[in-house]
Amino acid sequence: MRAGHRVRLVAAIAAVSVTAACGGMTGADDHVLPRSTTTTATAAAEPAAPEAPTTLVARADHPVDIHPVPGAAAAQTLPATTEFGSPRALLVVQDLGEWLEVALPERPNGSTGWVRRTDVELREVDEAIDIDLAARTLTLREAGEIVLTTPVAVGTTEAPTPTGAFYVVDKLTTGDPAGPYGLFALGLSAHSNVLTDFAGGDGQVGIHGTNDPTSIGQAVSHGCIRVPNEVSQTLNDLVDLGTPVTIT
Amino acid sequence: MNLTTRFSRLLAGALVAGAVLAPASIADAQVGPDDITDDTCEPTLEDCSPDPCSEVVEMPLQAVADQPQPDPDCPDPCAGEGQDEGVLEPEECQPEPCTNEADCPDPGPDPDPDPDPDPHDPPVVGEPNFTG
Repeated sequence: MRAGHRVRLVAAIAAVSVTAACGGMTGADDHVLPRSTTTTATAAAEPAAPEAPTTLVARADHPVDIHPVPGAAAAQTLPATTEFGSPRALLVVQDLGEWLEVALPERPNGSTGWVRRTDVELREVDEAIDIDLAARTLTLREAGEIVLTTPVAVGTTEAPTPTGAFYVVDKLTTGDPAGPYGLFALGLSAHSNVLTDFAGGDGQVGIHGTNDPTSIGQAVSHGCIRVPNEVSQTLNDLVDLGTPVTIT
Repeated sequence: MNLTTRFSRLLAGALVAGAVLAPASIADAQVGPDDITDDTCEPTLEDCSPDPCSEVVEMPLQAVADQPQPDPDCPDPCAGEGQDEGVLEPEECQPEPCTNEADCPDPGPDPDPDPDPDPHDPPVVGEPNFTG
């Protein structure tokens, strides 16, 4: 993908609003967050090729004011980093020019707010992760093309993995490949709808390796998505903060 | 007039005629019609040594022009040689192909052949507290 990505001519970033359901900071337990996608223009003389979906991510290395509606006073300020120290990355779901609607990594799942465009740096992400709870599979795409599909472990019926549109907010290396999370873990904007605290955390859902490879393919977790350890390394290598994760 | 007298007169006349015609004959022999390639050029005796109308190329220069161009990556082994004479001797100055790396100038450090234009976020070290 790298080479193809390199040669594309990004003539313009045309943020396309898929839906506009926000009247303020909102949230829903079973939500579908739209993603602000960009279209990639190729040279005019070339035949039209299928558009590769990309996602806009708002990045900041400083605290970010979150506004309930464009132009209103800030309702909260997100720290410059997550609790684990990852740089702040917010998935853009709507682009109004001066104002950007972003998905918030907090309860309830599906919460959104608004940031000033001048407060953040916009980046494009062309990776995307899809998790199929029924099939118990994870698929990684890059520029719309499947990079890998792997069986995964998902939450039990008592602590199910939440469904909806989320994104990667943390990339962690645990330093302990034999630990319960394996060597690499991705923290998501998703939170368990059942567990409000877990192991000292607030029930944040992640994608991570495991020290129990026999659990892969089963519904045995507390809501996280367990992947084979080698897959967790690949995800760490290829996935950026802000990468959208759709769980169905 | 007897036969001897008549022969003597003919011989004398021939000698006079030969003296008059001799310069033109010498000129013809020096220039040579095949060597004249410029029709507009009318050679004279003083112009014809060397022949100004000939387009014959000096062979040493042609031999130099026919030499293969030196490898720009390699030092010219003939650089500075033969300059006094103005003409390089082909047999002495064949540019050598660059087969020995030691003879080639150091091109310097290789640039990164494929720098990643899209580096990914590095992970941070941390103990997760995800739902597991």
